[in-house]
Amino acid sequence: MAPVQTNEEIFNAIVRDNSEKLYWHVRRMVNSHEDADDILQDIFIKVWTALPSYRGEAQPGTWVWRIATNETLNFLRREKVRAAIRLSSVDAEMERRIMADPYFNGTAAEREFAKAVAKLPDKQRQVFIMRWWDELPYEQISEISGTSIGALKASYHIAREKIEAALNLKADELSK
Amino acid sequence: MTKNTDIRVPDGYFSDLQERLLTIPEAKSPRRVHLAPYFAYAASIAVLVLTGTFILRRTAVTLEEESSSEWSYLSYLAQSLDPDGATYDWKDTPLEDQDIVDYLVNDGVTLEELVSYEENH
Repeated sequence: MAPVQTNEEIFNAIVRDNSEKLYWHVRRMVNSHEDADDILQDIFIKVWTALPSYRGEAQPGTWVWRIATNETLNFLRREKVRAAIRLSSVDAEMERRIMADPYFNGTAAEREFAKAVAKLPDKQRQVFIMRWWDELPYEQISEISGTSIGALKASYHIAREKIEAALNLKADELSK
Repeated sequence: MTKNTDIRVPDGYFSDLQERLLTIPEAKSPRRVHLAPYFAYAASIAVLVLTGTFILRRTAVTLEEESSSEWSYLSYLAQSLDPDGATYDWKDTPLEDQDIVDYLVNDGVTLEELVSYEENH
């Protein structure tokens, strides 16, 4: 019989297995290292707080991703409200973050790609990032989001078309 | 295009992050709470509130109407931007296949894009 793990041991395993992957996901969503770091802290505080009520209804990884994606979407909603109060827009803020990111070391094309992804609606962007960068299978994204695989595939397809259109537009601008 | 090479993190960031995250159980564990100081704070605050209310009622012009309309506006603004509310949870509102169109339209997909997707698949 396997020894029973304490909540602290389970939590430590969750941190070791998921913190880096979740960081990259959140970082792609918010386009800021500092905000991603803050959100990660909040995510794992929630994980620790909710751990006693976790009854294994989903794999621990899926359960943690669910908390992480909700926490990130809530952060972005708050950012939208803050931006509206400042009479600004989140799209403009995301573009500014990508342009000014001191930890960005990609090519000009990768910057344009990141800007095109940042313009997607939040949930569509989340699906795109989970497939493209996090390389999660649709089955797992479906479990995390509670959305059918068909809907996810359609969402991803349309996101990809939007990104391609944005990149083609930029290429046309540069060729003139 | 290679993935995850266009952004980086400060040197040693992930080991530092893990160390910080692993302190959460210790920091968030329930502790014995000494109630006496809290009763003293609560009593002081109650006295201040009662005194303040008394003084304000006698001297200040009420701003109730103005702050109420400001609050309504902020609530309206927040609701328009976040119709699902801050506690929205995908898990609690599972989407059926027949709701795909609603989901995509909510996600910012236009009807033209949906028609185009239908025609091409």
